[in-house]
Amino acid sequence: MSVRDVHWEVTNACNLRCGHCVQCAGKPRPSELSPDQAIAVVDRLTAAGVHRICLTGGEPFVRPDCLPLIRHIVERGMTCAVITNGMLVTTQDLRQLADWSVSLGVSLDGPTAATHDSLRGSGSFAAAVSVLDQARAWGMNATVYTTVHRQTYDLLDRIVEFVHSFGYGLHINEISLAGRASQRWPEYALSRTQRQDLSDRVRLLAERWYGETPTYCPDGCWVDGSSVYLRSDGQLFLCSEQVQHPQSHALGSVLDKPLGTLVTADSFARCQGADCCYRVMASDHVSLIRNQPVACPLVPPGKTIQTLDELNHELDALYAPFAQTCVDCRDKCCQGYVWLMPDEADQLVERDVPTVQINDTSSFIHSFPEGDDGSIDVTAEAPLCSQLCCLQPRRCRIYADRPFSCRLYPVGFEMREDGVLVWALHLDCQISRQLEARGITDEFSRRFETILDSIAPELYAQIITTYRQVHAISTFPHGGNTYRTLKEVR
Amino acid sequence: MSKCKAVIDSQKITTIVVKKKGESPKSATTK
Repeated sequence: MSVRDVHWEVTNACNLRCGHCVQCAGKPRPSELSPDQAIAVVDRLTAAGVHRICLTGGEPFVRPDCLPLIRHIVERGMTCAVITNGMLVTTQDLRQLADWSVSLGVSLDGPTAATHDSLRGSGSFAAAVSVLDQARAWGMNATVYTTVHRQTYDLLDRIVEFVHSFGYGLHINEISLAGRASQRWPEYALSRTQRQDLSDRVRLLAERWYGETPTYCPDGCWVDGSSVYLRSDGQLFLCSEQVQHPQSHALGSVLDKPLGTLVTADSFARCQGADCCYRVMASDHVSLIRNQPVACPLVPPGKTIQTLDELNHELDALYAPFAQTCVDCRDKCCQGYVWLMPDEADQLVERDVPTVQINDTSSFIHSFPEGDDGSIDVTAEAPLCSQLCCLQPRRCRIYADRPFSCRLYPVGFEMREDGVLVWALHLDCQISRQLEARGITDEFSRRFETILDSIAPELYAQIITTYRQVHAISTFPHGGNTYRTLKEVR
Repeated sequence: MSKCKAVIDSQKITTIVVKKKGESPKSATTK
């Protein structure tokens, strides 16, 4: 097996903290390679017949030994490229890189200081432009790397025009809503319309500015062992996608074993004929990497959600970007009846929250009107939840311990007209309205489905059984809720 | 849950038990 190309994350450390960074770059990983170990790795890669090394990060120039490392790569006869934000690269460094015929990749996310710096940090635009200016003056090969997301989509025309003015090409990544972007994904997610239009838009821009028409490369996984990804701690992976998932298995450390032993035909057998989570469109100067709703064949399934606490934790993370939406919301929320999972009922009683159990099967937070004779009106329509504070604005008294059905909202269950129970997004909620208005309900749905698919079968069955029992004693005198189906209950 | 248009169907109720902290579960009737 002959590895020719190595993409080498030389450090995860970065001088910037971009909100859309898929790697959460910032601090170095534990056990990053020392300068001596990095030199030893270059020698091993040379011995293995590697032709080209592309250094990436983090920010490669955070490493004090970045330039000596590049020199060593070049002296060993390999082609070298380095992807940088430009802020730590001096004129002297650039002169050296030009002399060594090193290619540059420069990150640029806006056509002006205001747009670029708002995403990457103060002074970063001036640094990137200075690097591009000097690179052009010295005749260096360079490519601009840009990430297209909600905040940059409308800037794309100006970015392409700006990059073209340097005579350089452009590599466009559709944002992966992972890493740091995952924490604030609604701010970065492209709308459905933007996603639909992106390829055509890039094609038109390439034709207009470069006179070339990018075309889609063949679909399917490209991993064939000729190109690999080396992490900053020396662990080797077949594809950069694996590094984004903590459950991925590395092939091993390049410090421990020769490359030929680590990369064998067996290591990527499962890739053959598999789909890829990316789709590539390219021409000579313009390339676009699109995301596909496909699981990488190299990434094992994530951790199974075994307990209700774990599931609640995932739901809290899903809705975390919308926390302010709920705080600001003035809708009369938390009406109706709050149904409880079996263990929740007892836990809430212990927390001094009265509950009502009906037919020995279904429990609810007790929010129902009580009569003087001890009777309760469980058929009351939309009573306010008893756990709402009576002061305005109303707040949940048990928010930190609120039950699953509350954490799930605005997702819930609906029995469709065809009798199929579905996970449904209730549209009568500010979060749902925001999702619809931003055109990102599909992304929400995808994220929710990922959580559903991770639930252990026993827990899933318990949730469905509990809800079916609730549904069995329910009626809808005024018609059903307005909702959008997310997934049928399996 | 919030804004839920469902109500409990009185005709499908056989038992109601109210549980409060420090008290024994108490049967109740519906209005």
